[in-house]
Amino acid sequence: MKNFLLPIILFAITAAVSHAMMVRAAPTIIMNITMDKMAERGYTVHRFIASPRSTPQTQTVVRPSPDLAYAVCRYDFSFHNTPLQIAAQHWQDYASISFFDAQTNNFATIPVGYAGGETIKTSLQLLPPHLSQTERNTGGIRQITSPTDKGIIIIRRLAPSLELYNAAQAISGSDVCAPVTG
Amino acid sequence: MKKIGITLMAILFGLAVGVGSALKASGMVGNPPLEKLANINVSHWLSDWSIGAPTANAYLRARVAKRGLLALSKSEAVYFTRRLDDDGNLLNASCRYKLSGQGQDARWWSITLYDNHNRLPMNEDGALSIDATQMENQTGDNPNWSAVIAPTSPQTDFQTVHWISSRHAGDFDLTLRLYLPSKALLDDPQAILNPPHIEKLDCKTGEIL
Repeated sequence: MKNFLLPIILFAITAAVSHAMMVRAAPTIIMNITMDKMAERGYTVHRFIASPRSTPQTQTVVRPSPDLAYAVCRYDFSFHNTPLQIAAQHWQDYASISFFDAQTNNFATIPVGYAGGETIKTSLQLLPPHLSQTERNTGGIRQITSPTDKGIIIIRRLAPSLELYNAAQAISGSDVCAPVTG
Repeated sequence: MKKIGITLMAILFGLAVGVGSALKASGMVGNPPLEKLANINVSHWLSDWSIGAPTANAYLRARVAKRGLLALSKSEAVYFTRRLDDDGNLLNASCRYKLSGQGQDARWWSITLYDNHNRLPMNEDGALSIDATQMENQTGDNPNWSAVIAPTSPQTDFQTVHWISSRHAGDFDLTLRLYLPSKALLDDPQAILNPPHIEKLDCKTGEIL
């Protein structure tokens, strides 16, 4: 028994540690795979791309909603450590901009204004995680900070019919996800 | 030498058990029953308020990453899933069901059908979900709405019937999404949610759907 004590202890420690590490790592692994697959499907970094209407034939993620029009922007601050300008064209019904970090956390969701108001876009800046305070623009622009270098931004617009989906697609070309210049 | 071999095997076996148990416990492999993943149950409509939140425990985040990646946190949307009819039997495409209910205390809601691989069922019927806008148009001032879940369309010449197609869905479940739920609903879903009913109408035996 004494001869097996060390292996038993090592087995238990290895099992416990690898279990904990795997559970913690799983969301990040899945998110990385998702972002890599998006890249393969043409979702370039720092640009909103309108997704095809969710149907059984076009679905690429689990449990998509067929009643929403999605525009997706992958971001990656390892390319450049400068803020991103984010803007969503206003919509005639429910719409939001949601931010997901590399560990799948939904760290912010901003409502998008209704079309027909005084302004036509909801705008803000997304800051990289390690931007110093002196580098932050405090010119009154709303800012949120990403907890991680990489992540995904999704604009959702309520569009339960094909007609509404097409209308959402049409305005999605004006959505902005791009490095702040100047 | 023998001791080193045993030690190495213990470490490798520990790794295998650790990783395998993690994948199983977090729902990354297999298909754990929904009841094990939820902490809210309103008439078989199951949910977890920590979905999307960084405070969610690691197991929940791993399970949500697999089953519903990019789900919103509860202040924006909540998601209920149900896989049983009112008699407690699994929902299956060989049966027809009447889905009925009332409005919800949220800005907008929808009910969507998914197969047991978390996908929209592979059919071309164009009847994947029902939503608040459709139901309000159907009922007007009447708060009660209804729809049929079936592998074939229930349309008749006499009336328009809202339909969710279960064709090629096999064993399936329904997800009730509520966007911008009220504070009252978030505080007490048991009291405020109007859980839709799922009544089995009939079943066809011997068919694989």
